[in-house]
Amino acid sequence: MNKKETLFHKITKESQDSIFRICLSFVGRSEDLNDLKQDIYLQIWKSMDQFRGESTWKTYIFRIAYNTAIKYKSRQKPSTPLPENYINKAEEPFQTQGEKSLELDLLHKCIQKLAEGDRLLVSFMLEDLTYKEIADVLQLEVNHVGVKINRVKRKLAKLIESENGKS
Amino acid sequence: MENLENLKNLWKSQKDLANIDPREIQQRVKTEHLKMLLVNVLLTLAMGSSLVMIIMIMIQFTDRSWLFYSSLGLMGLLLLLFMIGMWGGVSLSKSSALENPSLYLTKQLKKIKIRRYMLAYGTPAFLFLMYLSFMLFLADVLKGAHPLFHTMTYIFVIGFFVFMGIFARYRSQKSLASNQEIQNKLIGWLKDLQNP
Repeated sequence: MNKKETLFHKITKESQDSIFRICLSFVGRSEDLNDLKQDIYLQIWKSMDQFRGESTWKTYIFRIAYNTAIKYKSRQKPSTPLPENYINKAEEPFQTQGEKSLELDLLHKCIQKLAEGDRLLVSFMLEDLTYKEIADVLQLEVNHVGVKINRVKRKLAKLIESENGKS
Repeated sequence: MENLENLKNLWKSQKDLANIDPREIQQRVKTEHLKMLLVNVLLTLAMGSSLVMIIMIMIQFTDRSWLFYSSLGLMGLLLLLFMIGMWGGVSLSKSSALENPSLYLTKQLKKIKIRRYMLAYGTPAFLFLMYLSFMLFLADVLKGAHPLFHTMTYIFVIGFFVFMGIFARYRSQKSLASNQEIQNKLIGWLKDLQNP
């Protein structure tokens, strides 16, 4: 492996699960998941040379993921949900079983009810990014991000509450 | 949300078991780049040679009527416009995924607007001008031809353009509707991103 490949391998290994979950939050459990994931890796590879060290790799990766999701949306065709048994197979990416699986299903259902931008914001929040890091990704003021996060938290809580009420 | 930490743990329990091979990604980048380059070079070559051909015909045939020259001129103009549009699209698609997301969203919206404009006005205008150019050309080359040949040629050419017009309209109506939906979503996203 050359230098670029080694670096790519290192940074994607560190952020692979996060990228996977960002894609999950954006397109849900649909066949678009792998397409979006591939697009993000492709953009990471293409943008690696432009990394100037002004921010961390982490925020770079998240910004690439955010922008790739925008691009993906701008040319999106109707998505096809994954077959139901796909998510239950132990060897498939979704390692969830039993009760945990039901909780995750509910969380996914609620996230999918949010607007596109909010879905990504929720995934950033669930990935434990600080306000400063999210502000860096979105190139916004930290206060602005704080307001947004609080708003989206409230929306998600409401959705979870209403979904819990239904079941 | 009191159980935010629980949600975070639940969320993070989802792992990606896929194997990411840098060489595969690298290959995809290369293939994509090569494909784009090849399509653009081939199209430019095809358009360029057609343009040269038009100019050569114009130079070669010096004794034709104004209808003949106007039709060739119009075809040349259409080819030039098509090439400008094609290369313009290439430069617009070069926006970096590292850009400010608001700017990135604005650029994607601009692309959709151009696409919509081309679908709504560009294609019908292109077809009309092409039709006009054919009519001018036929008016010149069919001078003195047998009336039956006249009629047959016009029926065939007009029929072809009517078919193309209906087909283009059907395709563009479908695309315009889905483009409108995407555009509305992106506008909402941009507003949401910029306003606290």
